[in-house]
Amino acid sequence: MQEWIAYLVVGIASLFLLKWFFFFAIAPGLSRWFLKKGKVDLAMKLRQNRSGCENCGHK
Amino acid sequence: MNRVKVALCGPPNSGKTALFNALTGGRQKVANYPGVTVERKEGILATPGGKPISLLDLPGTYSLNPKTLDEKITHDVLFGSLAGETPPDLVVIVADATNLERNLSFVLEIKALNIHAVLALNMMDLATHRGMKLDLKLLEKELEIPVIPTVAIKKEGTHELFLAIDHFIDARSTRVLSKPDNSKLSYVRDRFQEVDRILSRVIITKARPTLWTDKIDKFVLHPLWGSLTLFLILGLMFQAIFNWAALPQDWIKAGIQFLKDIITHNIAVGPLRNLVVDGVLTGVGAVIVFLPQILLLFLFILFLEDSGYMSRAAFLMDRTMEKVGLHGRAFIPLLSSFACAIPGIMATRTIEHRRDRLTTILIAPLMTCSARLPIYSLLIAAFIPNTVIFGPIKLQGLVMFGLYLAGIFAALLVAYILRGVVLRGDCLPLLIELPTYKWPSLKNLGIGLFERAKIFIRRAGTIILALSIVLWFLASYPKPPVGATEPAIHYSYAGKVGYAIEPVLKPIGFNWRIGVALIPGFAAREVMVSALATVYAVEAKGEEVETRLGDILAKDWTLPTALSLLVWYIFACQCLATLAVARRETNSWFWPVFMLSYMTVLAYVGSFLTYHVASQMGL
Repeated sequence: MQEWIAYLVVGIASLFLLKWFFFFAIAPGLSRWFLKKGKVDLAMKLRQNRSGCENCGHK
Repeated sequence: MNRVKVALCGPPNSGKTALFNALTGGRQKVANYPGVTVERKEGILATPGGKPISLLDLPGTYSLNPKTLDEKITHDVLFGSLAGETPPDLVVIVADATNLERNLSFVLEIKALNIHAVLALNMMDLATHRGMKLDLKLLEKELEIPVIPTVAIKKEGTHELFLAIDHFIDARSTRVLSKPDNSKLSYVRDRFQEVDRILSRVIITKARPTLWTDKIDKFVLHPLWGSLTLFLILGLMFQAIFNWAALPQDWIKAGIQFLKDIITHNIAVGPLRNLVVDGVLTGVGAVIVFLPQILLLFLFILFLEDSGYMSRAAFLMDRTMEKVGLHGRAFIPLLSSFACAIPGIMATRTIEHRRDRLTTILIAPLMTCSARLPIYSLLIAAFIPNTVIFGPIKLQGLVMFGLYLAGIFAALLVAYILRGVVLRGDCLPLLIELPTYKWPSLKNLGIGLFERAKIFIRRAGTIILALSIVLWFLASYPKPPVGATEPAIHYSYAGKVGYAIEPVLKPIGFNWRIGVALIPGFAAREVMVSALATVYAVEAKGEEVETRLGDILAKDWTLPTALSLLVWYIFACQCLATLAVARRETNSWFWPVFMLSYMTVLAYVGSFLTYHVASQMGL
């Protein structure tokens, strides 16, 4: 049982890191692509949620 | 109802962001030096009359002829030339009441645009304190716009400003924006003559000169005494970081140990207990103990920023910076980089020429940011004895100061080489307004420290926590084969990665455990500390969980290894966010890749030399 809970926690942490990486590395490029395609709302949404500096919160 | 767009604009250091915070309840950074705001910031709020408005805080500018990127943002917003941006319906011009001669010229420029405007005459308390008396009714009549006296940091005049905005919305009429050619010399001359004429009529009593500011400046701007004062302030800061933070750090350590004891006594031996104790509490706890030191560093930085000393420090450093080919305006971005390289790189928008800006961007990450502080503190506390050198000056604080100085000298040297080889060109002199000294507001300091603590704890509770958990998994699995003689971590994924990169790191004195900790350190520098704590805790199988990380490192590493790692962290660009923002600000991948490459080479060569020289010396 302990092992399964530990796996679950590790899984959630990994998903969090994946999400962080997506908004850090992929979202800016994707946002520019959506902007070129004319999907401004989607581009803005991605841009607003982008990861900034983990140290000071600057985006 | 459509939101009315109201823009706050005005000369630098006139208090626009302070007024923005007072009107919106926001907590944007304010400081007593020009060039703090380099972006357009927006707040959505309703006036007391219930009208929704969108309030824009714009970077400061002395005129509508933009020369720098931050000034261009203000220009483009006012003229509606930014993509997807309409011009503001109303402009609130924020002017420094103690500096009307320079500020009124900008007011006249805005007025000439035929745009609806209100003048917020800020810092009225300082003007009054210095004996200045103004005929505000006459000023309103001369300018033909409402004039509201304000003291933004005390929220005085905000109600009247809201009333003026409400009145504008009720009686709104459409105006056509005009753009006079204000670059002509005759136009500028006429404008300044008009300023003189208006001031001669509206000033009843002139402000007394600020004698005490002049007296302090005679000392702190003196080439010898001024430099000595700057050196002493920085020295005191690093001594304080080590000596004053010890007690609260002990409390945090005791709290983490208490939590570990509770978990150890209440959860049976197994993976979950190991995860919580070795992964979460050891990993996150190893970083969170540095909170008091981070807050002390920011207390000093905020104090210096609020007092008005930063511009003086810029003035003092200008001669040195000019010698290495750095623009005088590079000082503020470089100083901001002591907190974090991201706002530092963004602050380079105040630099006019691209090559000057690029040089500053490329050297900004060499300034010691606060994320390096936990690593420096951990290694200094573990390897450097805290012997008294002279009076209150101790060796650990001196070494910390030395590390900061090494970063500064490296930055100056790199700038010199860049300006001589890659980014050649003339160096422009510094032109900076020296603000009046102010006693820092306790509220401002409190808010600044609270925000910093919140960011640090949130970071520890999110990215550092997640990385610690994942690293615990990678250091614990797969389980060792039956009959294994080595600790479990040797057979784990993390162990395999560590052993794979060890040959590259061995020449600079790093073992495989340091290699494992360096990788997650790219996401955030201080994760290196939590990663080391997790790796050593997993390897110890719980036997040494109660031992401090510093004590474990002192037993496992030699002094040359510790010195080599310190040198690595002075030079290495271990920060993905810095690279991302450099890409954004230079609009190219070439410069961030160049930055990463030169810093990595510098770090490797520096660490190699340090390790081998220290080993040869028998340290």
